[in-house]
Amino acid sequence: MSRITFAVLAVVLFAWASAAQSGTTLVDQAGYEVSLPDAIESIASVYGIGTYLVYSLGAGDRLTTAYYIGLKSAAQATATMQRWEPRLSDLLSFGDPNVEELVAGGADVVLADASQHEAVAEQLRELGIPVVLLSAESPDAMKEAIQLLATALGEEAQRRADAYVDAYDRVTAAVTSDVSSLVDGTRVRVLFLGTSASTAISGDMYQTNLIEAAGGVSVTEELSGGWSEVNLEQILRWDPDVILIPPYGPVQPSDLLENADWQSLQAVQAGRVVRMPRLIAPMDTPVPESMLGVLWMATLFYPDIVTLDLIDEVVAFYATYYGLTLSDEEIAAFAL
Amino acid sequence: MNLSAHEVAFSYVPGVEILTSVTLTLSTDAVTFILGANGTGKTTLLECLFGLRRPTRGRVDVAGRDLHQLAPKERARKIGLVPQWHEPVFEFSVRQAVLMGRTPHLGPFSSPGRADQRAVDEAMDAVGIASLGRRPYTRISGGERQLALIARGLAQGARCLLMDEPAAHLDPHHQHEILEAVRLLADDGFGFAITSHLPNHALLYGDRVAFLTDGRADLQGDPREVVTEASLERVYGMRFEIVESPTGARAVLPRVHRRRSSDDGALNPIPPQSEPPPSVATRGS
Amino acid sequence: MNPEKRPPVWLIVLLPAGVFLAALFLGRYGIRIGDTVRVLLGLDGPSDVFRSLILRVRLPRVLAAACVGANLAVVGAGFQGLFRNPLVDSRILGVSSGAAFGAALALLLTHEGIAVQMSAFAFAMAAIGLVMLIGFRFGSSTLVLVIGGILVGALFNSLLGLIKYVADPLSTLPTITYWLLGGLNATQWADLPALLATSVVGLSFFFVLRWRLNVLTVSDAEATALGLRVRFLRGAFVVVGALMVAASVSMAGTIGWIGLVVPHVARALTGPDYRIVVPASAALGAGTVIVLDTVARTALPTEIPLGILTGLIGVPAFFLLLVRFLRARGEIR
Repeated sequence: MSRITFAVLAVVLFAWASAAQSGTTLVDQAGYEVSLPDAIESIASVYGIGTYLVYSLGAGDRLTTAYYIGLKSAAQATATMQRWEPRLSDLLSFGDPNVEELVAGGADVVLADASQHEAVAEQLRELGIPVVLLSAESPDAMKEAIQLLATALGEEAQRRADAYVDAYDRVTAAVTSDVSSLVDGTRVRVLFLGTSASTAISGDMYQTNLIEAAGGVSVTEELSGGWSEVNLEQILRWDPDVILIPPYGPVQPSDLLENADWQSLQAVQAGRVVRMPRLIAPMDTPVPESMLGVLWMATLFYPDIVTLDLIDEVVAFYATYYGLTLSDEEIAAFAL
Repeated sequence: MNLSAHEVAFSYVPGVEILTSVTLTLSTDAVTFILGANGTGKTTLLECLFGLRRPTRGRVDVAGRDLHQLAPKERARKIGLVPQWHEPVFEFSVRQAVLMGRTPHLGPFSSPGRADQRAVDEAMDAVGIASLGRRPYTRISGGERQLALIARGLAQGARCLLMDEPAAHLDPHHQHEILEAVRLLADDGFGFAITSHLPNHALLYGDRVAFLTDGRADLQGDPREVVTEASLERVYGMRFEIVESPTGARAVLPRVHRRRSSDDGALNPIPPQSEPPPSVATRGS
Repeated sequence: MNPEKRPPVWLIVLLPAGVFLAALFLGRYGIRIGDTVRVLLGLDGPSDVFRSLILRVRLPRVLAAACVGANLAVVGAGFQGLFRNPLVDSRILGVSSGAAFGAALALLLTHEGIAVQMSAFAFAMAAIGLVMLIGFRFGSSTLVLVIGGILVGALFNSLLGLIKYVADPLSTLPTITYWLLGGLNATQWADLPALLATSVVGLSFFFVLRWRLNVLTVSDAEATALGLRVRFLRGAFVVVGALMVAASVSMAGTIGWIGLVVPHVARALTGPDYRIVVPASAALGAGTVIVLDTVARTALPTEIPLGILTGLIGVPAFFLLLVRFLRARGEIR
């Protein structure tokens, strides 16, 4: 065999070998190595947070079925969301993942919750379906998750992921620097309620991270174990400066402001009872919107100190990561 | 005051009559024994007599009026039930148990008062258990318990007391104690109807006997006349002999003999119709 | 034991009153006793915060605790006699399960506080209605009623499971879970009139007819022979009792053991005569729940669910009673 023939053969073999090994391999957030096909055309997400990550990466049109955090039916979604994702009622799913259903759906990859879906993931792996376990329960974990996902979803996604991480870091850095000048005793004390006026967050929840990043102090920091029941007497004892209501659940500021029993609180007297706005995903959960959550809180607590313009950031965010142009009404929801 | 059943019929399941036509009168001052084989409806008859069950045909009268035209409270003031012993849920005192007998005399929203306590005292004296008042109802002897239940019936003001197998679970001494007390009360003007499996008690303590067979009480009357070897054989399906003691008291014994050939001690009851009994020592006839 | 002994009346009357007052002095927000007394007497001096706290936060809650405790204890005592079973709790007829389902359904659909209470109450009464229907159809013997209660309770428990499955794990499900664990921390004055009315009517009913409860503990045949309309009376007690339980559970969530243990404690002190056991159970029940609720709202910055406290106290208490009971019967040493 001539040397040229040999060289050509070698090159061809090498190219063939590497082609056979192409496609992405990544290590998911539960530590499993996952081999993914080169082009991912269809995604099934049973992780309510992961779904929003997919949307932010511009791959929302590849979803075949999705869990959405806080949604059991399309009717529960905000008006913005319903118009922005017309396929919502077709995609929406919830509950314990049905393995057969997922297999029948024929998705290229399944996104699942590392804390709940280990067993389901095992079954899917045995059936030869790639599954990526995610756990975006803290800001760092969320950033890691979005970058991880991006490596599998193509160049555009990777661009967006990088842009998002940069934006997140930029915003939080700006806020951190703004509030660094605050003296300990002057920090705003915040009570973050839940879906009733007697429920509040505990110190180990995501909202506490947001409050602290925004330069505030959560009065329920010392509590632990998820949503905690509190009573009015204890709330009176804390006497927070601001009371925040999450963007889900039935509690409205008027419920507290107009309630005679709550009048002794300084937050109520000053009218500083605010419900977080929501266009698509809730800002107080580990979804990309949480970046806005931090900025919104900081702007609420320290309007004179915060340098970034909340509205500008909101408009830019929804344009970049959701491809959404906001109406005046939607913008007004964020006005403080 | 009479308590009487007129052609009373009763069935639990449509088509299956336990009682077909029972006519029976219980007068106060008499002790009537109601005898019959197992499952012939003695308890059912009793339940019809105090109004727990409504006859499917016929009626029950008390003091001339249809029992079911009276309110339960009125019935309870006339007729009392002394049931068989059952383990109570709570340990009431004897006094509290007897006091329950005053219930038919209470207004709809009242609890017993002083007059009721006095009635209880009288009732307990009448049966001789006055000293047992504070003892837990479960910690007295079987005989004393039956007396307490009788006292309860007396506290109701009932002139007619229905007793369901009072001698069951009692030793001979207590059996006698109860029936003796019943006899004395009858002499004072109370009427008793007692269901029993013991014909001997009917002979010793009863003024009247009614045999319940085939849903009817055709065989009734004075014990000496009604309790015969023939009637007993018909009712219980085996042979008996009636013996008389030197004092004139009568007793019923099942006819049994010892076969000489098999000396294993087995007692074989004599079959109803066949060979005449071999020489069995009898006293009297 | 002398079944007729009874403690002095003062114990029965003053105990809950004393506990009630003491509870008003305790809470996370430290208020000096003097100030509390001044607020209660309507005197000047204490700040508006104190006044609001005592009169608008603590007082309605302690009152609610008293009503709930009295209701559950008296119904438990009554049902133990009606069903001739000392191991019966006020939950036996499925009323609690109905209320739990009703509350969960409302929490799923609306979250409104008043809707939750009304729904809980409505479904509690629906549960007892079903049980009464079963009784009506199959003859209201105690056996039929108990089995009916078990079936209806199981039905509502399954439906509750369905609601939990559908509920949003972010917000609704924890709320439902907390409601089921029991607690009085959402009590407001607006809730009190209905609860007070039901308690007064129900407790009076049981009190006035307490002698009948004694008589109903003997067999149906004997009770009839003593002149009572047994089925009617039993039905009336069941319905009124269910009302009391429904009102209590819709307010305080599903808490157990009060109806089971408190009557036995009362009987241990006073003997089994319902003439005393009914008021004694009411007093002890009220006192117990007030004490437990005070612990629930004071021991930690967060609320300890009341149902957990009643369980933690109820189980060992019941165990001790059981030992005492068996020892008295000579079945153990």
